[in-house]
Amino acid sequence: MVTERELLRGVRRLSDEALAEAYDRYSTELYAYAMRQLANAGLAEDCVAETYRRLLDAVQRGKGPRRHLRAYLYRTAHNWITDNYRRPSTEALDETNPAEDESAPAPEARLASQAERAALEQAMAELTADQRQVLMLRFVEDWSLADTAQAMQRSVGAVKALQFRAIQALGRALELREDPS
Amino acid sequence: MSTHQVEEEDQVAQRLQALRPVPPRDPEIAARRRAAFLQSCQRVRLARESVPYRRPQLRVAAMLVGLVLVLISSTGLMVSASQVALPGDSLYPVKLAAEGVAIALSFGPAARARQAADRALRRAQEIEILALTAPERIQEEDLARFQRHSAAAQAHADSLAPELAPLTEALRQRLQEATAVQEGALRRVRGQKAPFGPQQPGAGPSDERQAADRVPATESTPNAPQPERRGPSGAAPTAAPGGPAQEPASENTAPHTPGGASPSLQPTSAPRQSATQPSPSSSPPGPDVTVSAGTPPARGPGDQGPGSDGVQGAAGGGAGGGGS
Repeated sequence: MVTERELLRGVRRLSDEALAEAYDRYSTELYAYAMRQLANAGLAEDCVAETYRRLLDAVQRGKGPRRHLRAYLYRTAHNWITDNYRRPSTEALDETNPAEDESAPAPEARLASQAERAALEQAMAELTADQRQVLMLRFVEDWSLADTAQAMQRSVGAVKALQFRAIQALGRALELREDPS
Repeated sequence: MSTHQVEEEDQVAQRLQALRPVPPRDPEIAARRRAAFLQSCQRVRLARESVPYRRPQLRVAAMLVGLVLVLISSTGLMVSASQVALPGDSLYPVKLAAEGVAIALSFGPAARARQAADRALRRAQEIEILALTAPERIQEEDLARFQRHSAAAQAHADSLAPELAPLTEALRQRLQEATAVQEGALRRVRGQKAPFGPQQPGAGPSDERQAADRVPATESTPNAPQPERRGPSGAAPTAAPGGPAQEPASENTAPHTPGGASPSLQPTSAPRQSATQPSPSSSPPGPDVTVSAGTPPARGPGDQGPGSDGVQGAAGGGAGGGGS
């Protein structure tokens, strides 16, 4: 298996094999990342497609990632998702909520209570895009501080501070939902 | 990090696990999207290959070539603009440098000798133009430069092979014309004031002005009847005591006159003519070799001056054989 650095070199050369490998290696987890935040399979697929399209455009213009392909892809996906969150319509969130998707063969999803998931999604929606991203990468995707810092183009210290504020904000948002008084 | 913070963090992480499960991706859609992406990659690669300068090195090379072209063209424009520069102008050193390069790059001794003679004539014309328009700008170094260029042109002419004798003769004539032009200009200046060098004793302004007024007229109309210039009342002999009557101006600029100081420029087949009195009838027969016809550059205000006309007339006479 080629390293990420080697893979990135192939991508920058527009090698067929490298591009196919980059898609196969990261597109599924990117889809899951988008799906968790968008809760819409179509939007999540669009997010993945747009993320790779932007990578291709950047490489074509001689730009794009030079050291960390995965972090670049997540950053691009996050930006796309942030744009989607800014859209006024939220119908997509209700249409294919995985918690309500009876056909989804995900045993873990069935275990999570629908109320807990809905409360979390609503509380996350109240955070800033950066706070949402740091929580998703650190506690859902299980990324290290260093990887998160690369994806967010911040220092590790800045990510720590952001994570602290995000946890505080999420706690407050959840408390408000659980105890509105 | 405090214990409370760690606990809070663990708690949040625990709760966020609820967001982790997602329905699996539709494999059919995933395959379609993958194929579409790879197709886009192919298009992009083909587009990149069709771009001529896709390598950064080639782009840098193209930029360098463009820069060199811009430098060359701007240098050419500057050299072109400098051709009308006069001593003291900012572009004048460019003009001198361009002339030096032109001589150095001339192919063969004959072409070099022609270029050198043209350069000497240009020096004389510059002094003439300054004399007419801004005599106070004439400096000793301008006269010295004329002397240097005249001497160099003479050396080039002398170095020509014997079979190029007609050309040598024509070049000598050209240098005589240049000397005449310069002397005429200096007489004009001395007739007004003396911005440089000591005034020649006995060269009264009124006499000099009369001489200067006469000289260009005779130069501009070589075929016109020559006025009597050496009579007892003539100005030239007054200005050149002890000198030959045919070279009145050489006394005014005695230290700078290459003709007088360079006997080799004297035609051997015919007696030396007065530089200020070109006599077409006594000019040597027109040589087969033509001296550069485009000698005088753009002249500027001096074009309208009588001295300038005189130069052109004299130059034309030399180039055309002088017998017409």
